[in-house]
Amino acid sequence: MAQNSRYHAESYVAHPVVTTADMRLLFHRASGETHLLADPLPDMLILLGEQPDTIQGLTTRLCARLGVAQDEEAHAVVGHRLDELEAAGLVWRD
Amino acid sequence: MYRLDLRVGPVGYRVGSAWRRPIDALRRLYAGYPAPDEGLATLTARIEPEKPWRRHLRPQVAIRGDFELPDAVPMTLDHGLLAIEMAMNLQIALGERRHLLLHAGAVERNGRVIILTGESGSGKSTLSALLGEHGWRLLSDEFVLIEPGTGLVRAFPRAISLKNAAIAELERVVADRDRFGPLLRATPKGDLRHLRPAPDAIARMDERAMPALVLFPTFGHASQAEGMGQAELFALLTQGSTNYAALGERGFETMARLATTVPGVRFAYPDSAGGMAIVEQFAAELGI
Repeated sequence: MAQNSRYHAESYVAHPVVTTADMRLLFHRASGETHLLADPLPDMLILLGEQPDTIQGLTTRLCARLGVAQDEEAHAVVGHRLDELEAAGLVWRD
Repeated sequence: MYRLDLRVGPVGYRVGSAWRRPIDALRRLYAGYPAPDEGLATLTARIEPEKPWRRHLRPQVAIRGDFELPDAVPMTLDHGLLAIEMAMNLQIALGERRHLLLHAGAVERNGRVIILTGESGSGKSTLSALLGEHGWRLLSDEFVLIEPGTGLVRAFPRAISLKNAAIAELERVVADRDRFGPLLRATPKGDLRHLRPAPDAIARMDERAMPALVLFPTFGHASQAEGMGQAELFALLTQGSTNYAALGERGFETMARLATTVPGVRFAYPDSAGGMAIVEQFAAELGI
């Protein structure tokens, strides 16, 4: 079911973001919450902000963006990270 | 109601008490502080009887003001000065909206500020107080106010709350006995004595200064220091702020600026002399 769900995110540039040496700090205006994002979460939010996608579709785009091989592990990592982003209220499913 | 209006840095206090003695003690402790600008207080803090009959009969002191903690335990009138100080702390912790508030001490030299923060018992307050007697200007021992927009630290030189062993440490280095409040024994925080900051800290309370370093001291261990990443510094500082969330995006911008422009270091120290020596070493490295 989750495999076919499409994930959405607000446009990444709408968020105030501060880049540190090790993470990105994102202020989510809608909730007033601050999020500390490690890689690859910012790239996932950027891609979903450009276009909603399934786990499979996002994995393909993310691997292409980062120049890494697309395999089962990448797919699993994206799935787990999407769960985290959804719990944080930064992405949602249709 | 007995009253005292005074200003500490940017905060104008209207302090009230149902009893005269705590206000008299407060007036002595804050001798030389200015009145609020144009007579306008920004925060109200007062102590009153827990119940009307508790004014004279075994008096019990309750903390009141713009902000209150509903389940706070009332205190005895002998600790009335402490109750007023706690009321003043509560109002700033919950009511301040113009500045980002850090639960920390801070000292300044040559226009640059070292912020000392950490858990209760880390020694930040005692170290700040001692540095304030050794060539540094004390900005605060408890609450650091960061000005949104400029990122500058506003001084907030309230009376220093010395607890237990810190009392004797400061009694050894402060010659002017008039700067000390009465010794309050067996309070909920242990033995406690207030200390008015050095005269220059009060005279220069309107001078802002730029943060240069954030230190996280830990008392009682062999000397050791370790740097931290900007994201960790940001996270720790937000945990130690009582109004970060309330300031919204302004708080985020101010905190992010501090955490990405000022280094953060945690260090352990065995005793106060060792702690001050380490702070001086950091200051020398930064050219302060």
